[in-house]
Amino acid sequence: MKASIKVDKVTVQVPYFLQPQELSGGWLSTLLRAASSVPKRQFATLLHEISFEANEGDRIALLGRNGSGKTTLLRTLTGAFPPSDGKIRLEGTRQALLNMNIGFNQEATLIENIFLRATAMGFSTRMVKELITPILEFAELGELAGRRLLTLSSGQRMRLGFSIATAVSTEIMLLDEWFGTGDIHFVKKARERLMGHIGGSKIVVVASHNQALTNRLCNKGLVLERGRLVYYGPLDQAVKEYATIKPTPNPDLPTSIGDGFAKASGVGGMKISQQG
Amino acid sequence: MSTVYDSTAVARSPVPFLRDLVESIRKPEFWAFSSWLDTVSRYRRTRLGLIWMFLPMAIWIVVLGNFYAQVMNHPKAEYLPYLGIGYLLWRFIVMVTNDAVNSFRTHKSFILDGRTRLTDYVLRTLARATFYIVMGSLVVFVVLVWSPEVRWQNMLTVFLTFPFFLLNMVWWVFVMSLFGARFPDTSEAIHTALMLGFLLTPILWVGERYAFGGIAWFLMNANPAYHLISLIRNPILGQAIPYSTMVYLALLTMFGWLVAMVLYKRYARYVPLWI
Repeated sequence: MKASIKVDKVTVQVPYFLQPQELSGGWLSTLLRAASSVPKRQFATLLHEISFEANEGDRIALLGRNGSGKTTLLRTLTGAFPPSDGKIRLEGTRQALLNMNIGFNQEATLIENIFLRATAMGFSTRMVKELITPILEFAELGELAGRRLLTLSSGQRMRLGFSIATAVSTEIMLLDEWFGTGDIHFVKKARERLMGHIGGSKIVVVASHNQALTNRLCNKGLVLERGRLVYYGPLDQAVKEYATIKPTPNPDLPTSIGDGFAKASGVGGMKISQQG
Repeated sequence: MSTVYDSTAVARSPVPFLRDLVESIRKPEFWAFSSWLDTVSRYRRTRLGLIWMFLPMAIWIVVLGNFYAQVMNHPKAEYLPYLGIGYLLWRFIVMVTNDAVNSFRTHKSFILDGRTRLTDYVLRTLARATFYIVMGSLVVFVVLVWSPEVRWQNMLTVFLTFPFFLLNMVWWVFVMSLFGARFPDTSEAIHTALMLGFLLTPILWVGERYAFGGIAWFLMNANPAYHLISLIRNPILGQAIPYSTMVYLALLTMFGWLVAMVLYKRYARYVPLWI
């Protein structure tokens, strides 16, 4: 069976809590309100009827402004967010790398953390044992193996996380933007590994604002705006489409944030609570 | 490997709770290893290290046990094992409950990365508390050896009663985790409930003195912790398990598992959205 992703009219709604706020309030009323206002539970539609298909060889860059639904789409593809409507069909083994710190224990050593995270990814302990050396080598952290994780810089942690996640190649790889934050040398190496995984990773979906990275890595682009799919096709065309999106003032946006914020631009509003 | 997500994905299996639980037990690497590492690495900064896992327990039993035995006028040989076993089990209940109500939020990054088999987190919560109960039981073991009141031949009942206790903790932890994920108030409410629960459960005090039908009797008998603790404690101390306790626990177990199965099937898929 060939690896593929088929997304058919997927809509995702999520509940969130809205704290009534006033844009024009002074500092005192804001502070008092922080204690007295009751959060309201509301629903935001983060993705509207998204449909697309990806096949072997597709390396898709998700493009869109902050809060346009890139991470939500990735989370829907990992199976975390169930579609409220529509259907997703994935063929092939999958690995998601959405959160850099997932499964890391600050007080544990690097080797212990490799066990921790790799077992969290579903590897057997026997498999992990064999992977430790290649993982440390790729991350160039071999000499730090016995150190506690908290002594590492964030870039080093990212390297470790990336090495673990890509130690065994999977057919579908889902990445969020964090992995483009390493130093130039490592990003190059990471990119080569992702590209070199052809035959391993047949489909890559990556959300990134790092254009230099996506230009080299991807061949397709998917542009999202306010949870809607604006364009899906060759990367250079997608980048052009993305550039034409302007932050348009939303006619529905009320003067008081409290009322219709979700309805008007729920995507942007949600991002805050999602990242927490 | 083919995967389909749509608006009815989880409900496909008739009893997804059992299916996922079996899967989690079959693949223990993640939850067993990570909870062990969490527990062990927690004490890395400390000088005494793992001794902290049973030191509080020892102090509790020795200091409080001697003090209360005197205040309440109980012979120490009976009271210390009574308190030790009761407290050990109560601590387990408190630990899993407090962990459970925050469990899904604690594991948010895992869940949002696609590890949506929630029973993994249920077992992880139980595993952590189990490490503590094993360490704590070393202290209780010393007390049991010291006390002449303990029936050693009855100790074997633990191999029956403790798994039954755990069986009830499984559904309890899942239900509490789900409530905690959906209603953040649960975490606050449960702290208070557990503090009250400690006073209402015969751990420090001995239960037999309440007259049948009184308010105190009623409160004690409605309390599931009382029955669960009696189930394990009574045989070790050479007392019979009351018939009412057996009936209560049979009903509780059936009811709890049923609730867990229904809730899992209906709500498990929404957990990633709630957290």
